[in-house]
Amino acid sequence: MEILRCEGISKIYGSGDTEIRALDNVSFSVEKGEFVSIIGPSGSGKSTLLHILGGVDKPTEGKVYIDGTDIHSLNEDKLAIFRRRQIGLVYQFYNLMPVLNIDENIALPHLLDGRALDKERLDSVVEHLGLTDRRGNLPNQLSGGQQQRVSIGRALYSHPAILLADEPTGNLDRKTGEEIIELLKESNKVNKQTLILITHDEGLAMQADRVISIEDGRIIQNERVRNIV
Amino acid sequence: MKNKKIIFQVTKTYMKKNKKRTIITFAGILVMVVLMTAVFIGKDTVMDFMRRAVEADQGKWHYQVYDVTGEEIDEISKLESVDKLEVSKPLGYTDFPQSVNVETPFLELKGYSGELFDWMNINVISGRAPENENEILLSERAIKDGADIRVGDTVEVDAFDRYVHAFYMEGEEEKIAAGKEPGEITFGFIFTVKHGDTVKAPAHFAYWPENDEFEEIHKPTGLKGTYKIVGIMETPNYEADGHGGYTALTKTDTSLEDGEVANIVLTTDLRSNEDTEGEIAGIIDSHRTEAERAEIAENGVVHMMKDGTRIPEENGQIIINDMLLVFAAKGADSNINMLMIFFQVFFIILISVASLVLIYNVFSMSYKERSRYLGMLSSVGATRRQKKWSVYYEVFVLLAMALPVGIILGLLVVKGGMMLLYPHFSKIISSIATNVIAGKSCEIDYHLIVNPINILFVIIFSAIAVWISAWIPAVKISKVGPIESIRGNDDTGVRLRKNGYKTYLGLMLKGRPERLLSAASIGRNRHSTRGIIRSITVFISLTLITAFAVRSFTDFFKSKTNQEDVTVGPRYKGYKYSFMFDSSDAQYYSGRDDIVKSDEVSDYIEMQIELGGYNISLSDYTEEFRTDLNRIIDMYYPEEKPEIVVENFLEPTDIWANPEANIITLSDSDFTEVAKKAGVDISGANPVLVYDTVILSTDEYEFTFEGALKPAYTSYEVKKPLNYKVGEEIHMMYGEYDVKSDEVRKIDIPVTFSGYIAAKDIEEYYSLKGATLWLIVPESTSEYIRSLTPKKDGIMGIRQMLFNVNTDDSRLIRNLSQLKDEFDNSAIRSASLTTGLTDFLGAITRIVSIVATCFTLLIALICMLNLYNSVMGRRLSRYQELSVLKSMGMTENQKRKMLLLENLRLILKSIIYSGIITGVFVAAIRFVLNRRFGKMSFTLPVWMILLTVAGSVISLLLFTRLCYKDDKNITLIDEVRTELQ
Repeated sequence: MEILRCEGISKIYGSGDTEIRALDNVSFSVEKGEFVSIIGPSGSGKSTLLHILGGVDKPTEGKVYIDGTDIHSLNEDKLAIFRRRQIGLVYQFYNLMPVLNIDENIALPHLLDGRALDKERLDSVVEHLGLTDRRGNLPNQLSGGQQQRVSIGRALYSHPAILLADEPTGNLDRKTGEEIIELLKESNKVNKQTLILITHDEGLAMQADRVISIEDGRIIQNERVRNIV
Repeated sequence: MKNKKIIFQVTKTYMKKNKKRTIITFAGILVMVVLMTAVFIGKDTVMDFMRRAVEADQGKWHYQVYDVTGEEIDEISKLESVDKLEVSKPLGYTDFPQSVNVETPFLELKGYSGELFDWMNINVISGRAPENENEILLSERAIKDGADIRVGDTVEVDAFDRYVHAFYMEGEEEKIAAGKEPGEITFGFIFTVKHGDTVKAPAHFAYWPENDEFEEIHKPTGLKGTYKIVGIMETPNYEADGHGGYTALTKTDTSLEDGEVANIVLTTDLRSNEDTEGEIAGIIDSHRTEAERAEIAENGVVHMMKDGTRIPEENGQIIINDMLLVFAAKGADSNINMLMIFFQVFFIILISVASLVLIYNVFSMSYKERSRYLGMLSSVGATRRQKKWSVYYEVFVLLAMALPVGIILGLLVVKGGMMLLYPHFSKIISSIATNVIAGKSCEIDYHLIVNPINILFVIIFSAIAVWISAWIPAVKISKVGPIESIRGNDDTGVRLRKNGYKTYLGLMLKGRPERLLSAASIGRNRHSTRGIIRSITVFISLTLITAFAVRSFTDFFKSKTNQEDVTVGPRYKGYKYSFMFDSSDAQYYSGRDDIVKSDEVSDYIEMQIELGGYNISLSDYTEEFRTDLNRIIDMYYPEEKPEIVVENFLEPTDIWANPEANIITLSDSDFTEVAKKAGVDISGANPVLVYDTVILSTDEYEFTFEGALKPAYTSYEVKKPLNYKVGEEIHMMYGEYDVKSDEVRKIDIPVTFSGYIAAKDIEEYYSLKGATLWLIVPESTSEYIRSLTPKKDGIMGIRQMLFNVNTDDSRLIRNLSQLKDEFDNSAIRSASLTTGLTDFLGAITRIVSIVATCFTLLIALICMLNLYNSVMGRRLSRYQELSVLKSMGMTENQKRKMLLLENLRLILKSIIYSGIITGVFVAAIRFVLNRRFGKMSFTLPVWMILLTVAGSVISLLLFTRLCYKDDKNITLIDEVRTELQ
């Protein structure tokens, strides 16, 4: 069942001589529960694509349908609500709220959606992330790996349909990076969340169900690696 | 300097790049310079204006000394502090047959030397000033009265001194033979002659028609000759309508013959710190005989020199033009000088603190950016000193630009302020300057007094304020190393705790993300909120401290000023006619009846203020009142109180020695209204309301008995001064003098003490103050009191009917106008003359309030700039944070709610801090003022507090809206891709 479809997406920065075409007529779709890797060299447009898919950036042309809704036709508030319910973003630099502790950071998207805290679920997520003894700490007191776990914890706790991860291991050592990928894969498999991972690590990309290669803003390869379980 | 050049270059680039921040810092420094200029130049300009106003009224002299000999003049003129000295010789009176005013049949001749004509504001309106001893300048009053004389005429002078001889009255010689004191005649309250005595009349003595009680004797002085009238002058301010002689001035020199005495007038060197009054008193005392000293010891005062030497001084012999000296900051009353200096220092501190916080905040907020480029410079070898200089360079470049602009703007502010205040100044002048009231030609304009020293002070103080404010950031920034630059500064301002923070579980369980975020943001990130809290705290604290200081000043002024003890309120305004007849109850009440019953009267109100006459036993006063009275007396007599003081003030034995009470009578309905406002029950028989404040001060209790010192001004405010409980009987006493038995009979007047009233309860009718207790009674109680004191006739104070008539040709006015008292004053007068007491205090209070408001507004401007800058700084520092929240799905409404909650927390914190700071300052000011001036009550400026807090809330909300309005266009993508610090 298709959960995401993008049609003819282009993103142009600047104009005239300084015009840069970051994405050029990109179209593809993703099935529910699928794990898709987007790979490509630096500057190929993969992060731009991810942000357009997540509704944090707007395409110059084209449309993005999530669960049949054209997300860029929504107004600011509806898009925000849509985002917090459907999308979980995991960034390379974690982007946690510096004044909130682990518990609060994890629960924040859920709370922003107007829902009260489910304490048991929070406890189980924190325990699962191995952060039980640090849950009162602020992000600045955590290592990079721990911060990324919290970032994934947000996605695990609020349970969005789609997880968008932008180079989540780019800032981490190899071992920690592997742990993080395991967590994301687990989220994809156990919680049936669709996972779109941006990486330039080919080995990592090959762990996905499908690999989309981008170069100069165009899809040059869209290849299924394995069938969705 | 050379090695700092690159640093300066980089700083300059940084300043250009951060234009907004640079402009805010510049604006802050500019406002500071404007305010500093306004304080220094404004003070001198106002003082100069007031000085010239006083000069126009009182003259340009500083001291007048009466009855000094030539030898004494020689010694006084040699005093270091004496600048110039002139002589005024009283040459006696001469008959003036050209006069048509029977009450002014003489010329009062005076000889003025040198510049005295100018010092005494003698204004020649026709002809010229006398140039020799045979020429006369005559008072314009003579011409106005219709005297048949003009410039060029001559006057035959055969001068004499005026003496009054009081005859023995019938049976009086026997009384004296029996060892009793003779009776006495008093002329106009100031001059008393005992029966049987012949006494020289004082200067400017009025003309009193002789009768069987006294005669006037003229003793020739020997001065004879023909004098030519060479000019007519405006009537000098010391010459009043009732004076027996028209002033006639002639020219004289400063030399005196042996045995001759004259008055001297002198100016002093204002830079001198010598005690001129003490030195003059010392010279005069050194020429006294032992007998004269003994007399002075009994009747004079004691002048205490700085070294503690006590010099006896004859009462009234040395007159100081104190108002003039006060405005030249050399007044005898050091309190006013001190207050002037206190306010100057106070405002400079205020301005400096506000500017200091602004500049400090700007540097504190830009620390992160600066640390990057300075760290980079550090990595290529910049020293700490060089980095420190980058900060100093920035502020001093801005100061150098702000100084010329700020000084010019400051001068314009003073000029504008003077234009704004001019009507109030004019009001003050009209209340102090009799010359101006009389419409005399003394134009008083204001000039900007720009003293180069003051400009230098502005520059120095501004530089100091700027240097202090930049010092801490400079030191902090100088410590930035290359590592910070390379790694980027990780000082997010978030306070880290080893064991982390307790989760806001309650808020999370309730699903309150906005409250969670606001609580965490304010509670855990002090760095970004510090600037805002500091700005609001400084704004609230400075405004309230200023308001409190101004209130204290006006309260102090209220108790210190020689303003009337009672000022009428709005209820007595708006009436055209006044009917009064002080000396006879029968005449007054008959006229009153006519007014009340007349069809021609459209509206009326009665004003009855009886000053003194009734006494309340000192033992009926509270312990506090008696202790404070004792303190005042202790200041006059620190060693031993003379018996007369103890007997009359501390342990009174006769009725009149007990404290007096003033009585205000209101109509029964007005009385009920006042009582209702005060929440007092007036059901008892003959109810009396008591004004709840008495101010005992060294001015009100002035002691001139033997050994009295002149203490510095001190006042004690006593609240609820009586020992009575509500509903008890107050035993007022009236002493009725019986001429036959020569005894005083005590009449007990029991009335019901209904309760105390405060100033606000009676403000519609009167504003009261003073050392005497005020009793407010209804007409019924007043009638009851009169019934117990049938022999008492007339009133000491004010008793008048104020009314309007509904016709231009009023029979009532015509009839009442024919009633005249023994001084030939008509019983009908213009109400504006009797009730329009110039509100000196009101004008002063308004001036102080306007000045303080202007300053507070300008200081508020600095604080607002500061607040805006802080809000903007916080907004910029959370750009990424807000982007992340947006990317997580925070809606605009949620963000607005979060910001509102944050602001409420910030305001609350600021209010707590400013409460503590203001409390400490107010307590300190209160402590110092109470210690220095006695005991004053302090009223809380409630409205000011509410307005200030409301102003802070509105400003913060407004600035938040302004600073966060662009968030809709926030480009999430740029921000979220960057690491959140």
